[in-house]
Amino acid sequence: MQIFPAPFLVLAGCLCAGDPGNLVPKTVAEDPSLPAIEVAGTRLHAETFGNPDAPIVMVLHGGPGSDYRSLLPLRALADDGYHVVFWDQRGTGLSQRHDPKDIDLDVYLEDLRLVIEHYSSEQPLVFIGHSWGAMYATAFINQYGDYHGRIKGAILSDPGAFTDEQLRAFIARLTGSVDFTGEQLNDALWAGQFLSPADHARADYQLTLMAMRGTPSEHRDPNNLPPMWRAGAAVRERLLALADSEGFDWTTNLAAFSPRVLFLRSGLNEAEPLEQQQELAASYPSATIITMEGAGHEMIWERPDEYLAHARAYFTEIGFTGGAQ
Amino acid sequence: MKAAILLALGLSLTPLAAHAQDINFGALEERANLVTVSTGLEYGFVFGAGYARALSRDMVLGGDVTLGWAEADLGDFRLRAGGQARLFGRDRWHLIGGLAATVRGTRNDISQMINIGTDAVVLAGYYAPHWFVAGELGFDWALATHVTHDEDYRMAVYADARDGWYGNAGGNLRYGLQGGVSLSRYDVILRAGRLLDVSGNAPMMPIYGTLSVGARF
Repeated sequence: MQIFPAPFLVLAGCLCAGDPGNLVPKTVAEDPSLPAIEVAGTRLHAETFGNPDAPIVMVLHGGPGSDYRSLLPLRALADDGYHVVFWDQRGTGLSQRHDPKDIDLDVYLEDLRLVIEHYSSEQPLVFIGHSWGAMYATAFINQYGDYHGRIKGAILSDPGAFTDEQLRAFIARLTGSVDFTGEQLNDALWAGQFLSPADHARADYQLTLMAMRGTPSEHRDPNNLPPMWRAGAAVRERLLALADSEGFDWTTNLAAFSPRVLFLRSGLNEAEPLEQQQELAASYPSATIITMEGAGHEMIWERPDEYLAHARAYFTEIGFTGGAQ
Repeated sequence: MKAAILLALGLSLTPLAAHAQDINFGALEERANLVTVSTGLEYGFVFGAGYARALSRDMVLGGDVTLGWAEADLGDFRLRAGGQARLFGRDRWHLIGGLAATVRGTRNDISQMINIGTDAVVLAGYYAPHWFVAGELGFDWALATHVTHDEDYRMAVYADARDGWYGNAGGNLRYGLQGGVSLSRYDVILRAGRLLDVSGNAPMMPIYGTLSVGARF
């Protein structure tokens, strides 16, 4: 809600910050030329690579409120005979925006289930989840187990937490690395005088200002920034607020999940150190941890060949082979 | 250079006079000059300096400059010029109104922005010669913001981002308290309160608080 009526105040000849396509790109709701699918009353930005009849590699991006653009190096797995699926989660990336009140974890879990069904109702699949995406994959597995025997494994890269208690500790480590008198944070605060997050476009733009270089604990390569389509500020705020107010525990049913899970972590990441990943991995009956030494949190973008080599080795170990089934 | 021209243009459009929000009207003398230095938290960690002149005991004109002190970043600045006037008063109870033109700039990871706006404030309180306390209600409106996107943003996020003037880009309502003591020719004034943006939500930094020290001569 705006306090002042925008038409009255907008200056003639000026651009409108809230119009999609000005500060941030249009979503699939505004640009029909973008690749998209429709599930559960929303339009999701999505694209796939490889044979549609092949086993699925379901890629889950981070955030919440980020997108899949920096994970696109994983499309190389299509050359191994997999159907690699990328999609921007509800309310972020180039997917349709919604009133955040209409979004919660149940909606997100149903979205993921319907995205799987959209691409195949029978093919086996493996999740590759990065950061929040690894948490999302775990929430789904906790809810649906191996999903009628179809989920053959998961590669979880730098998940932050599987419970609200772990999340609080993770956020403390993440924010603890931020210099509260430093330029990055103060630039973001200062920008609050110039643009107000009165709509999705402006809110997403402001979040990009905070997120583009990440936190110091993530150790991003400043000379090779991970690309992104568009941040999703409202959904990020909504899901974090719900996690804080309602709590969560996504470990309650993991003991029943028999496939081996690979925790493929970044060695430089200070917010998700080895001990924390060991604690999370212990929630699964069968899990292996591999550390990519010298890699930061954006390891898929920064070190794609090494990441893909680990992914391929894992697929071979669990017997998840490509090619039409 | 372009930013400097915009800045000069913005300043030339405003009356060269006053906004000093940190004034004890109870200690004000006609024709007095006021200089202030301030620091605190207001959209980040800031420090500033201001000058004002009292045209009468009821009206002050002046201006101030504020910079972020995170890393002595000259790219983040705010200039204000305007005035405050006593609108109503009985004994030591006064209602004061103020209006200022604002020009501010920032350079960050995704863009360079120059903004022209206005800041309106109403103060109501008790003003004695040696101390005062007042409620503060203000609205800082970002009338128009010129955005020039950084190459990193175009490379990593959105190549077709549009540079130019954005109208009605935002604004923040503030409400809080201010109070101070005046000893001899010096004032020490504290302001603190909360912020709400135009959508009614708290911005990323939802509070403000400044300490200023002023001298009258």
